[in-house]
Amino acid sequence: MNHQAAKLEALVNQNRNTAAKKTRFIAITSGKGGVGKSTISSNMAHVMAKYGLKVGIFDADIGLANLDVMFNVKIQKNILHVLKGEATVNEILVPIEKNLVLIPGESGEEIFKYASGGLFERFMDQASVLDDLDVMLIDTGAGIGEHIQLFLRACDDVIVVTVPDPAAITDAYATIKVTARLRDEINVIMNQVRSSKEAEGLFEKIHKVAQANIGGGLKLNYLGQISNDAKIANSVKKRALFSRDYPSATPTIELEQIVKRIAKKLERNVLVDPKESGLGGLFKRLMEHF
Amino acid sequence: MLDTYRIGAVEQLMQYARMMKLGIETVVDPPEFSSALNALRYSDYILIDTMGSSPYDKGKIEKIYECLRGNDTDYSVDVVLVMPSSIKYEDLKATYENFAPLGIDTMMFTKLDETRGFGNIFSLVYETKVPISYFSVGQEVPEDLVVATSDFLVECLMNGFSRGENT
Repeated sequence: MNHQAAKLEALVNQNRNTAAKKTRFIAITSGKGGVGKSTISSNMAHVMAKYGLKVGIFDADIGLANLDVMFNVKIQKNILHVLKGEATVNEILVPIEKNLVLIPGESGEEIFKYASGGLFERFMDQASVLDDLDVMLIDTGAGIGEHIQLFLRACDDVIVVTVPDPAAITDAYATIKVTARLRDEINVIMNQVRSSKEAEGLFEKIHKVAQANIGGGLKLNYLGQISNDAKIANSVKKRALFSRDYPSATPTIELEQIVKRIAKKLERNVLVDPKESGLGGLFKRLMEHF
Repeated sequence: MLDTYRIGAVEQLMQYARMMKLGIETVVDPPEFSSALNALRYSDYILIDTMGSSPYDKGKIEKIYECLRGNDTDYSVDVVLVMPSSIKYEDLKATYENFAPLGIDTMMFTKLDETRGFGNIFSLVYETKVPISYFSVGQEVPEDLVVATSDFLVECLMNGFSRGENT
């Protein structure tokens, strides 16, 4: 006992080793492409980081990784280089701002070629550098492909983004239907809406159809809406984040409300097995499905 | 934390925050109070350490009052008055009365290990009807902070405080 808080220090250390790392993996997906999935992911990451959460954002859009464009950064190496042993996890991380790092992705298809052999073990050892994160946002591709489903299965939360047009709604529903086989809770964000009445009406419709066809086992949560706003397109063109450019604009306020709803869930889910948490845990879970 | 007056206070609290990996904000002027609360709104609990002051230092108490009054967040702040158990009843009472405008929700007594008489605590609670939330019984962090129970206080009154037996 060399100082006043020695026992506190011991308690904290004990917690670090046993009780839990609580990185929460949140997959953001959509049925149809071009509904603003990456725009929402990157801005959500920014808002979370602004609130003091330690956030990682992983670009898992198969073949179409583009978060580097969203954040306006240059990528040298990505996660594939790590899997091939050509780089370490630390080398590929791109710090975006305080509390926010980007993990550049490449072709998801290729990533899964490295499922076998000792490559993954090496990666997982290194990935513990990311265990500090509170949240890992995973920007998956659009669609209902097999690899996307793998991510949706391995994450703690799934958010489906859609816009009000009928084609997008249909595709969002298809995603929900396929994902419902893997999990019993799915979150929905309505993007580019003109009024909250429209957004809630459409969500109610999806909800009704889901209840009727998928059954009562599925819990469909409405996380919120992002209003249609010319400012968003303006920021995207400039390769900037609308939530940073326009901190008091309606879409930013709406996104903040969504983040608050997610943050509430974060604290509730802290007791996970240390082996199953962190990025290593995610990949382990991914690989179990092969 | 509002205690930017005492030398080293911020550093001490920072060190605790670092150790426990907690977020921390510093408030110097009352108007910053709400924005500091907002900055920590991802938290379940926000502990606010105020600047310690003499009960007769109206200026410092007023500053805490300004913070609470200017609070325009959704949070309602619980006010805990912390007093050493080793001071006279008259001083406890004066301290309570001078801090009462802040709206005291609970009281907390420290240094139960440094005194042999507990009548002052009993009298103050009897008089004010304000509940006691915690006792501190030594310098060890965190195990010397104990949740206050009437059994514990009665035991101290009857048999005195002794480490290990009462806690």
